[in-house]
Amino acid sequence: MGTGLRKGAGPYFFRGTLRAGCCIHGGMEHPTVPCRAFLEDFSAFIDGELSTARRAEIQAHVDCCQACLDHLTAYRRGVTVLRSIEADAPFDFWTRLERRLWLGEDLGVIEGEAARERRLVDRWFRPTPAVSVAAAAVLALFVIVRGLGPGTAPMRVGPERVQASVAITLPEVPEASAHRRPNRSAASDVAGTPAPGALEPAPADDSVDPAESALARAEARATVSFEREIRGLRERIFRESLGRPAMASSLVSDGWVEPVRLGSDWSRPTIQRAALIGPVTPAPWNVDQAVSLP
Amino acid sequence: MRANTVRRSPIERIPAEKLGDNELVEFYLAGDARRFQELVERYEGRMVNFIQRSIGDRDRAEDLAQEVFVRVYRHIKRFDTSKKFSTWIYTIASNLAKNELRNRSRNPLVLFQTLTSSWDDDHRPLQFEDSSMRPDDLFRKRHLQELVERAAGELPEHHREVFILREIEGKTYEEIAEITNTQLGTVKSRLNRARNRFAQIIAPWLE
Repeated sequence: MGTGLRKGAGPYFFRGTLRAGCCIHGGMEHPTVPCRAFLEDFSAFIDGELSTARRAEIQAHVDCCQACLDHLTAYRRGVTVLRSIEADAPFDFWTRLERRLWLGEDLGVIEGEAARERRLVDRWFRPTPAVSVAAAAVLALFVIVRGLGPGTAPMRVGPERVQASVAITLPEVPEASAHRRPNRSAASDVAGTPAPGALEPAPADDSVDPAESALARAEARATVSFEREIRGLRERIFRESLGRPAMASSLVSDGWVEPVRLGSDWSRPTIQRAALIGPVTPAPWNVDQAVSLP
Repeated sequence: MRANTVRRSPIERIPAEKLGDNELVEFYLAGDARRFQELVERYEGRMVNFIQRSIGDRDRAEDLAQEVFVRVYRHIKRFDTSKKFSTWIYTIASNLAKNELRNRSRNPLVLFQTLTSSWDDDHRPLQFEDSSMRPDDLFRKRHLQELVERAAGELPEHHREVFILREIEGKTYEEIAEITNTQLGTVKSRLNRARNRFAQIIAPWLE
């Protein structure tokens, strides 16, 4: 009984015909690999999709062909073992899901890598109008406090820099250094001459004023592209600590990021930004260092 | 039949075990909020195991299973209750698993082998040993499970998905075609290849 055996089968397949009866291989040695015709109907045979006649034919063949029988036995045994491997969902599965659904920690949506990065930036750190105004106020205060005296680097603030300052806290100027601040009279500053009653300006020497350096660092931070910083920070979290891609939600649960709820509409909570709070456990690097300039 | 057609008593609450998936969905849409939790409890284990078998990473599978239910929650009002809920949720899970594998292939930092090998003693959920088995039997059983998991992991992605849906989740060909968004003939073809390949891989290990 020929069964449509095709020539040119791979080395795994026995190039013979599927024969009825017990001496299926007609005096040949028993093959070490299953017959191709059997393999072609293997899945349908297991699922009972074959016609009665064909099923009986295959069954008669399997009863006599050791290679095909071994193939079928190995498959059934393997599937039985595979089915036995079941693990329960974690005990806190529902609690975690509930937090995400109703407490607003719905941060993670798995999409393409680019979409995920965009989402992280757009969703977590998108400044609301209120935050933008606050950021602008902080920068305005900075300009007022810092002044534009000689020896002072000009403040480079553009529209994009305002956004960048949202997540950056400017350090306070220590009181001790206030006496060294130049007078804020624009005329005297431009002329380079101290105004009457002005205190001595800080010499532009090599001695590093902690307040000056702190302000310089803050100013430098404000000029950094915010999105690039966040992307870099995220990559470092993944590569150095987690060692694998993580969902936004796991960043929250692992203590890397603290969601900040904005707005008062609790019926539909929306997280619009998040604060970086660093890992709960000691990390190999400091979050503040990651935020600062490379 | 939509949610507003469901008749329910405010006093007598039908146990979840007596309700089908679609009935649970209808009760939930009719305002019984706790039915969603019952749906989750019904499917959480299946989702985690299905995704874990698809992507080979237990931790990530738990994250993605969470994401499955988030999506179900978001879109459940659009679910057509004339169709099977299980097919719908498996479609979501399958798509998330595919996205995960695609993202992983784009990220050279995370190798698939690394993830599959992470399914070791430390990651395996706590299991109470069967005291009726001898230690060497337990070892043999554990070893066999590892071999079988490895064999399934060696299947190509498309074949593995169909294989798991059929053999582990018990889906019909039609359901698998719907979940994987493929033709019926493609499902049968992939399933036959997957089954033969699985047997071919596992046979020498079982000798």
